[in-house]
Formats: sequence, structure tokens, C-alpha cells
Amino acid sequence: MTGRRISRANAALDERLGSQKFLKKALDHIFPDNWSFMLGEIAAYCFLILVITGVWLAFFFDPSDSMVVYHGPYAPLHEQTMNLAYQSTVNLSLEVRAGLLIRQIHHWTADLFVTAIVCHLARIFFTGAFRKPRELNWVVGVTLLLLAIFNGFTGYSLPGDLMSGLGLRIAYSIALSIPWAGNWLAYLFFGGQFPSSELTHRIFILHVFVAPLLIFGLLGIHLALIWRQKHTQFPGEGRSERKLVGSHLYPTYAFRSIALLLIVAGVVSLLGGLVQINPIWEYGPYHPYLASSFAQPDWYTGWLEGSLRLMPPWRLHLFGWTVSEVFWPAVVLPLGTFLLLWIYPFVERWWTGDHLYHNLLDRPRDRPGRTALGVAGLTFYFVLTVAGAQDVLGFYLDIQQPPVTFALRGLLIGLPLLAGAVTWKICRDLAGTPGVKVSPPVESADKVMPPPTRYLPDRVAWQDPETGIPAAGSSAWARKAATVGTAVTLGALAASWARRGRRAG
Amino acid sequence: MKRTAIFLCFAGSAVVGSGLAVTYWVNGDTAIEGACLGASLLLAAVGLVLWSHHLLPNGPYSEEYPDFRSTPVQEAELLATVDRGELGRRRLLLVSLGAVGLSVGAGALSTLRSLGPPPRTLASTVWKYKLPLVDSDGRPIKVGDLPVGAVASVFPPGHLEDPSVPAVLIRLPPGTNHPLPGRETWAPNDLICYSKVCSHAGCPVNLYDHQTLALQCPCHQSTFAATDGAKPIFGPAAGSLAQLPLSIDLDGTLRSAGDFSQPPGPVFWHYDSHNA
Repeated sequence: MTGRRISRANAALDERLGSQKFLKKALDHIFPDNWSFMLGEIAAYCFLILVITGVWLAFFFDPSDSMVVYHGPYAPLHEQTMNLAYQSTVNLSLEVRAGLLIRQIHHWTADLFVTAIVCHLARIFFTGAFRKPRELNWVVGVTLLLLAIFNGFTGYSLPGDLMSGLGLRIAYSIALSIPWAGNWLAYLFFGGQFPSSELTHRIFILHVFVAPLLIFGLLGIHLALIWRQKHTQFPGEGRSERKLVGSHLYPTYAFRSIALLLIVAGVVSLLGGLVQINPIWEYGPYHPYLASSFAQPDWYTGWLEGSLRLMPPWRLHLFGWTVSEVFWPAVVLPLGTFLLLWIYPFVERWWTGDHLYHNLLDRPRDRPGRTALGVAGLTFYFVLTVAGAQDVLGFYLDIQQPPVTFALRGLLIGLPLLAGAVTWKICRDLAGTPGVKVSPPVESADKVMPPPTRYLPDRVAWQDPETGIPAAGSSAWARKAATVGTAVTLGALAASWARRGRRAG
Repeated sequence: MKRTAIFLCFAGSAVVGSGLAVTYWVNGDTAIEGACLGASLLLAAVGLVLWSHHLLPNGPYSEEYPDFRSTPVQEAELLATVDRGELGRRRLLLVSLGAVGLSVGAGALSTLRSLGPPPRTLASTVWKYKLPLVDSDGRPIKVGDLPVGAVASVFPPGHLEDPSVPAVLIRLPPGTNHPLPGRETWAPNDLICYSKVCSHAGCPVNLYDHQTLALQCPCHQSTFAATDGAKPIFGPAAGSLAQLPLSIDLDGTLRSAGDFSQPPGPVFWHYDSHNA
């Protein structure tokens, strides 16, 4: 009955669009079975939830810098001067029914959005999924990370509370520090001297229109490229550079994907309902002469906060011109970070001379150099993020700030080197351990694309399926180590979420 | 058995999910709403995962990766198509079309100029000779208002929200001040006044340590010695806070004796030329 109805509707469409062939092909699409391929999907679903909750919030939010005096029901703010943006955010949080729930879901989802993108990026990096033919999609993905961080910061800056004002004040100083054009750029971007009467409205347009539109478009390109090039897969039985093994899009993966959407939505709903985030009515409205101790941004800008705090006071005087000390940690470092991320696939291709197609993923241990580089990089940004709360750290450890700062400066240089070296050693020792069964390149098609041998450690060899080298205990150990590593990373991310600002002052 | 488990998940999800609507209409408690919505979605997700793992076809199925490389014949065909109309030969036309793009593009770009007013000079503020120092409620500050060790935020009258003017007034313990050359008269009665805008990234410097007589910015922990012209002693700031010269009227009212010693707040490209 239902089948006939569907086929009638489908026939009507097919006669006009030829949709049947496309639909058949789409529903037959095969996805490889591995949990780590779901990380990007989590990010995409976060974006969906952000758009829905964001539209809801926009009905109640007033992006205006007009000053008003508060007479609402929240007594501690009575008679205080604030902008309309702040007043409307307080109202939608405390008076609009379900307003606080939606606002907190929106904020938690934004944090999860960037987290999922970073984890996804790490998975792509460590398994070499960015190699030919997928370099372009890496570039698109890194751009999406940049936009996600930008949109997170603009969202944090909208409500006109003390924290968002301080963040914008710092952003204004950073813009001002750009050599030669800084003054003009700051005035044009901020609509005059900070805090201008244009600012909240301008950030609002960037936050709800420009950045989301760019994310939407790039996400479309990202998915279209995956659709065209198909997923990568880990080596395994029956899998090869030519043959993708997994389960069908319909119904198996459609169900799993919808389940994942529900899990993401469920988790952020629980967080939004039960765990308070960014209680702006406690911070109070922004005034240029007020500041707060232990102020923390959202976790994904913590690395910039940390770099601002750890940077030695290097001010440059050049032929009568001045380069501010904030230019290096707040302009050069982030620009350099994203530049290196963008060009990494091309650098590695040049370094290794590997111009072959790669649909089979690397195990991280089989590429000790890349894995060590990745771990060192993650460690560097982790230390910076911790340094973003260096005063809180010193307070809880009961240590003065100078020793904490000097220790963190040392760790920023030393820890990545150490972590990279240890990673390299572990990878070297694990490489050659038979962990998974790998089909030898026997098919004629594979001979045109053999695995690159030029930069493989010589201990890595294709496993002979006849002799089947016994899987030693070390592979179970490696799996455990990987699990512990994942748990530690997730724990650290959770801990950085937990750092919320406390008002004092 | 599996079907029962999946059914129970969906049924439970539906029941818990209705709690959202009920709570919304009854009292709108954020925690209960979030718990109902989250639990309902998670239960439904568990049901779907069980369904996909136990009742739906699972692999291994396989398909071929596409080979994107074109044959030489296809490439030649594309080249022939691209050559259609022999656009490459019309040099003059192409150059003039490029000029159109450039001129219109430059015009379009220059409309961005409307986004902001021309930058105001950062060299000076509204502080000037003989302005009374007022607190955040607009009350003028008298010399007796501050006991030793006290701190206050001060402003020129009517400029509370101007970001470049906030200043911090400190009463130092007698004899601790080491004035910079030329600033010997700037701190009468051990009352000393510095810009509250941090020379690092512009946050308000609002922490004061009575023991070390140091000012600290809560944003990035730049620390300044209040007794030595607010020179930086710790943290990322490279420059001193600007100092405001003070004078005291006969009736005890505190007044500024001029503008700040240098442009307050973070430095910028033309800072040195203003500060020479």
C-alpha cells in the first residue's frame, strides 16, 4: 500500500526530473564502518541546531547599543544603565518562557560545534585523510573551523554584558595593533572608536547572516566533495585503494545518522537545561571602566587569551613607528596557525614526494613523523589554552603569578618537543606490529597505485595473509593507549568548558 | 526480543518527550524542560541505533572508488571546446574588459569607507587643565576623601562612558613615591593618578595590591608599579600607564593639571610621533 503510493509519487517526479536513477544511486551509497567518521557529522548537526535555536533567539534579541535604564523584574540590575542588547538578553533569559533553555542550548552547542570540528580535524590529520585527492576538502574544512571560531566569538560578543564588552575591547586593541592600517581598520570594522553605537548591530549581521551563510555554503561544498570522492577507509579485509567496503546509506546509515542527530540534540538539551552557561545577568552590563577577575572566554578562544598572557613584552620602535606587543600573539600567531593548517597537505606532498591517490587511511603509528608533529602541535595549543587561565591556575595552586607564567612559557616550548619525541618513539616501536589484516596489493588495478614506500619506515610491510603474523599483545596495548589518550583529550576539553568566569569587581 | 527493546525505547521517548510540553504550559522550569527534551531524544536515539544494528542489513557491502583521471582523448576534446570562439586572440578586448572589472571593483570596494568615521586622533583625551576629578556617580573628589591606601576610579565630569578617559586615583603611603623627572609636582599629598586603560590590550586596570603598591590588569595580568610612574613590572605590557598631573584647590577639590603624560591605552602605529 505504502509502497504503491511512494512509487506513484516517485513516478510523477521521475517523469519530470529523472530522479529515480539518482535516488537509487544515492540510497545505495556506501559508508565505511568506523566511529571516527562520525565526528564531522556531529559538527554538521551542531550547525543545524545552532541555526534553529539561533532563529528562535533572534525573535527576542534586540541588537542595539541604545542606552536604557533597567526597570525589569530582576532586582539586582535595577536603575542600572545598559544597552538594549543586554536588556533584551536578560529579558529573554529570565522572562520569556523556555528562553533560557534555548539560549543555553545555543551556547552549549556552539562550544560542542568547535569541539567536534577540532576532533574531526585531528582524525583527518592523524590518519592522512587529507592526501590526494582530498587536499581541497581539507582547505574547505580548515576554513570552516576559522568561521566557526569567528562566529562563536561574535555570538559571545553580542549580549553587551561585561565579559562580551571586555572581549570586544581586546579585539579592538588587536585591530589597532596592525601596522600602518590598524587605526583605519579598527574604525571601519567597529564603526568608530570602541564602543561605538554601531557595534552590536554590525556584529549581529556578521553573526546571524554573513558567517552562517559562508558556513552553509562551504559545508555544502564539503559534503559534495565527500559525495563525489567517497569516504576514505581504514585498511582491512577486502578493502583496497579501489574498493570501498561498508554499509548502505539506506536504511542502515540513514538510521544511524538520524540517531546521531538525536544524540547530539539530546546531549545539548540536557546541558542547556541542567548546566548553567554564561549567566550574563550576574556579570552585569558593560561599562568601559569596569572589569572582572578570572574572566574566561569560551574554550576555543582560550589559546589566543593564553598567547596574549604568555607573550613577553616585545614592543618594536621602527623609524618613528610603533608595533604593539599584542601584534605578535594576537595577529601573527593566529594568521600563522591557519596558514600552516591550510598549506599542510601540500607541504607534506612536497616533503614526501607522494603524488599517489590515497583512499586507504594510515594508522597514525605507521607515520611517526606526521603523528609526532600533530601531537606536538596539539600540545602547543593545549598549553596556550591552559595559559589562558593562568591567574586561576596560580590562585588554586596557591602560587604567585610570575612563577606560573615563567613555567608555562617553558612548557610552551618544552612540552610539545617532549610530547613529539615520545610520540615518535612510541610510533616507531609500534609500527610493524600487525594490528589489522591488510589485503596485499594483488589486484591488477592496485598495481598502478601501490602504497608509497619512499617514506615508510622499513619495518612496515604488507602483511602476508598466508602466514598471518600473530597479533602480539602489543596491539591490544596500543588500542588501550589510544583509548586512554582519547579519554584524556575529552576530559581536558570538558575541564576547559568548566572554566567559567566569576565576577569580582 | 530486540523489537520489544526498541519499542520500549520509542514508547519511553514519547512519554518523556510529552513532559516538555507539559512543563512548558505548567511552569516553564528550565531544568525539567531540558531534562525531558534531552532524555526523550536520547531514548529515541538508542532505539534507532538498536534498530540499525539488529534489524537492518549490515555490511560488508562494497563499491568501486571512482577514477577521476580523464583519457587523453577526453582532454583533447575539452581543449577544443575551450578554444571555441578563439577568445585568447582578442587581447585588446580582454584587457579593456579587465579594466572594467578593476575600475568597478575599486569603486565597489571604496564604498566600504562608509563603514566608519575617519579615525579620531588618539593622541589626546578630553582631560585638560583644571577639570575636577569626579567619581562614577559624578561627585567631585576632595583631598580628604581618600585615606592612605585607598583607590578610586575618577573621570572628567560628564564623560563616564568615554573609553579613553577613566583614571585610577591612589593615595600612596607617604614618601613612597619616586616621581619621574619632570613629574615632581604631579602627585600632591601622595595622591597619584594613572590612566585606567591598560597599555597592553586596553582592559581597565582595576586591581590594586596594598602591599606591593602595584596596579594589575585582570585581563592579562600586566602589573605596574604605582610608585614609579606605573612602569610595567610583570606581564605582557611593554609600556607604562599614562599619568595624569594633579593639583589641589584651596577648598580641597582635586583637579587635573593637564592631559595624560602620553596617549592612554594600547599603542598604535603612529604612537611614537604623538609621544615625541
